[in-house]
Amino acid sequence: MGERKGLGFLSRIKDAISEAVYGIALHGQVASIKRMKMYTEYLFMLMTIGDMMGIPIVPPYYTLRLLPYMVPNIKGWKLRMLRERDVTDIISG
Amino acid sequence: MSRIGFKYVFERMPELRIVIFAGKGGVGKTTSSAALSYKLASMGRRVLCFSTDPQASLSDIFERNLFGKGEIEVAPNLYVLEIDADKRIAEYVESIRRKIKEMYKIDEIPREVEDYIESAVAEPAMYESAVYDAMVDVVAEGKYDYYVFDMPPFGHGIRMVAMADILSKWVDKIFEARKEALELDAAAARLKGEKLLEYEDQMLKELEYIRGRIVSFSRLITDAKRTAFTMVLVPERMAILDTEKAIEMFEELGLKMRGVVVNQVYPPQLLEDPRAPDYLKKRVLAQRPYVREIYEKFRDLIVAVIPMLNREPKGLEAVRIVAEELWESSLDLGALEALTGR
Amino acid sequence: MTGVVFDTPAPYILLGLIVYAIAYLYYSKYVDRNIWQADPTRPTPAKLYFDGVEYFPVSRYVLYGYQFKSVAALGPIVGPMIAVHFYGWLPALLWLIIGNFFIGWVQDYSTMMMSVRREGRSMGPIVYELLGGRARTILLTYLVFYLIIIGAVFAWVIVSVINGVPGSFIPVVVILITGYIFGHLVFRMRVDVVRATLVALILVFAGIILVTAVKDLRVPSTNFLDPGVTGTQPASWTVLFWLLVLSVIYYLAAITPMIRWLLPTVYVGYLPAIIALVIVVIAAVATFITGVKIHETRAAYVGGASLEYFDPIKYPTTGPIWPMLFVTIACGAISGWHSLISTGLSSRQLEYETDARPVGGGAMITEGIVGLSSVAAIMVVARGAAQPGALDYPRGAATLVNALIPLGPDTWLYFYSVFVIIMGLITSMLFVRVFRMVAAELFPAPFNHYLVSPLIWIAIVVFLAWLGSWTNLWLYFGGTNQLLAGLALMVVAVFLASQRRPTWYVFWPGAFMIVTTLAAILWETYVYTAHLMQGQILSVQRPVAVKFGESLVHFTNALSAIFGVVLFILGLAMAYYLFTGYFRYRSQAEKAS
Repeated sequence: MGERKGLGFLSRIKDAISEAVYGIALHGQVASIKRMKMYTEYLFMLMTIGDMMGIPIVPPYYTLRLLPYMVPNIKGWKLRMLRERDVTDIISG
Repeated sequence: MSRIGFKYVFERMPELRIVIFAGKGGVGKTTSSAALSYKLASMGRRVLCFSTDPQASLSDIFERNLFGKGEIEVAPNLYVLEIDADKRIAEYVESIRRKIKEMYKIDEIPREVEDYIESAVAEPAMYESAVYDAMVDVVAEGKYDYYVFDMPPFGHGIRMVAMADILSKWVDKIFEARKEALELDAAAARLKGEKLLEYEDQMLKELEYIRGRIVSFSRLITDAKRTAFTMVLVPERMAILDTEKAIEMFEELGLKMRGVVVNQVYPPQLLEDPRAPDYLKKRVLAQRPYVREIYEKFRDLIVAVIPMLNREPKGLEAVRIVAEELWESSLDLGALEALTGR
Repeated sequence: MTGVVFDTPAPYILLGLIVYAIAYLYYSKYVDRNIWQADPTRPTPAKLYFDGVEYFPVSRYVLYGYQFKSVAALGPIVGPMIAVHFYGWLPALLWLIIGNFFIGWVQDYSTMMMSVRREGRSMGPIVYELLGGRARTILLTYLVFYLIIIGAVFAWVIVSVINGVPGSFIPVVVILITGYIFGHLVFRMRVDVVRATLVALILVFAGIILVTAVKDLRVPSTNFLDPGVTGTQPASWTVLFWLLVLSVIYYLAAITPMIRWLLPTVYVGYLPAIIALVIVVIAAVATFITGVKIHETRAAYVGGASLEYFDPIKYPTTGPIWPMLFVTIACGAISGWHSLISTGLSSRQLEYETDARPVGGGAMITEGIVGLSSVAAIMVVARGAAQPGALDYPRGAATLVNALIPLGPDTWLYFYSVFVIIMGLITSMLFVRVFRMVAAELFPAPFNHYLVSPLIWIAIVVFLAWLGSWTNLWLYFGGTNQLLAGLALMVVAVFLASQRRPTWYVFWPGAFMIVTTLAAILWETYVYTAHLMQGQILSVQRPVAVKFGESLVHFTNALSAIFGVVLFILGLAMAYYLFTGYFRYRSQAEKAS
């Protein structure tokens, strides 16, 4: 995830430290945010192309317009819908 | 006042521009729309006769191959459009596929996405929504003085009208959810020091577009001044039921159905005509209960009565005959009353 | 010269550091290479199940920071505080060093590897798969219990410090407000993160310096609602007041949108905390230069060396050194909670299998170092009270650090008091949110509602903190926490057995933890039962008895005893599932080969 700029050993140390600080102070929350965003996105997807699951709301002619924007999410969405989930998944500090 | 016909409809609705004929298959909506278009064109107006019925009978009626060929002038001022909805859907889907490939720089559509596309295309609602979208387009282009639409069988679009309001609310909710998601995204990006370019969410634009289309369609159908939504029926059980249901739905939505066209009615004169064969007289009597039902249930709505023709309505000459009947029905309300046997 | 050096904590801390270095550089490498055969080319769940939300590869440094923050908190501070008080610094130190070496990093690392090899699944599904539904239920019960108890303990510690160091709450308020400001700057006004961080840090330090410099700001005074009371006592009005203040903060943290306030506050709070930690570790080692002396004359009270120590009424300490020391110090030596963290998010974001060593093992070792520095801090202060005071650590840390960077003992006292408060506060705020989410999954309506479940948590936490004796709470908590550790280790053993890998390095630590923890729970139950049967109350409970009458205390003791029995039975049941499962998989694997 982090791109190592520069070849200096010192700059690598600096990167490592700033990444660690980020990990301590922010990463857990960013993960929470991402998860929240995922839920809103999936809610959105359900509303718009939920006819995939038999819930027609928006006419299919129009939901196709939205399809290109949801392409990256579809696989993940299906995986998530199918993946087993457990309470212990929630623990993200 | 017992005189009926579209002439009077147009008199009552000076701003009338769009006439819609709906009803089950085979009741004569295509014929009616062809006829009305013909009449209006012959009065010097530019008219588009738009058929969305997949059974494609405008080509039969005008005795020309019109299917999927765009707007064709079949008579002075009379343009006919018989859309090939399947082709339109296919082209549309292909453009979506292209867009996906462009956006993600891929050569092939991923399996799940392709699955979705195929299942969406197979849905019956796809055909209808494609057709309704075409209607919106055509009216928006504004090239004609009058538009006459012949809807798909059982496709009065009422469901979509009913949905329009719900849909609008859904779009609002989706908007909210989407904005929330974007905010979260932006927050996450800012924290990681990533630059998030100021961009308007394309999806939000698309949602607005979709809402706009759906609302336009809804307006098209329900405009009290510019649109006359008429049901066509014949004196038969199923047709009467279908019409009743449609009227109910309209009322539930607080909308006004403009009128009812009764088609294929055997004229009562036949009963007195000595030259008329027996079987025809029997037909008149057989229709009587249904005519009575129609008269009792829809009397106030009846705008035209088209008698049973003694040949198929093909060719401009037949169309002209039906047009006259539509414009000013020879069988007026009084005749109908007589037919009921009172 | 040597004599002088050994008077300071330095050599002992250095010893710990050296042992940890060996653990990380040699032992963990051996395990990583030979037992798990970690392969940097094998795709991890982050890559296999990439979804950009949960599963995506993250730099090992980020994950290390995340893991460290999730496992550490006040744990490596509170545990050593109690342990040193009751057993002396030598046993505490030894357990920290040896425990982490053989058990601590082993659990954190191994559960992470196990999860990585199992599609990134968390403890719940893994336990279910290997041991069945009942084991998983026990795990979940533990989880709920953990979230509540740790909230109660931390609440007590926070309040003790606020109360004991008047004015320390003010910089905390500054931090909370600065958090909001930071969020506003960065998200609303689009200010550069670096600049906003600088502003935040300036504000935070200004807050601390303000209280240090202006004596009039040191309000409210200690026990301001209970004149005449010394020290922080259960059932006092001052404590209740502060607990209610905390309740408001916790509730806000639970229900407000994360971005607005909680997220930036956590960020703003952790930055000075990191600095504080680093400084105190350096100061602890540097004592051979600064010459800060160990205050304690006795290195160890080996409670339990003679049988009379088994009389909990005559000797109301925490109990015999075995098993109690091993559950008193959890974080830093070994803590079962970490297995939930290792298998939660971290395993799903590891970029390479070989990252599990620095992330899982490294974070735990670092926590061990924090524990060492905590022991050092407590070693250098005078302690008198019968109960360990939560102020021992801030005072000790201030002493250590002031010798290195002489800004004045007051300044550092306030600095480390704020440090303790903010660490406890932030962790609790994050925990109440986790509890809220767990409740949403597990509790029936209406208790699963997001506005209701935080109230439940807060209510129980306040109740326990106000009335409970926190050392005993801590021990029950420690008991279950370490039981979970035993569970985690044995689950790994079962997993390895099913893969026909060697299991000794997890099996023996796991067995040790289970046996020790069961004994600890038994002892705690015995303490409460003995007091109950003899109509006695524990000394810490005296203030409660004075205010509300002894019968209430007897009642709570009875509850605690029953609770202990329940815990013991659950633990026994779990041990049964674990060992039978283990031997079953072992023999299956042997038959197959």
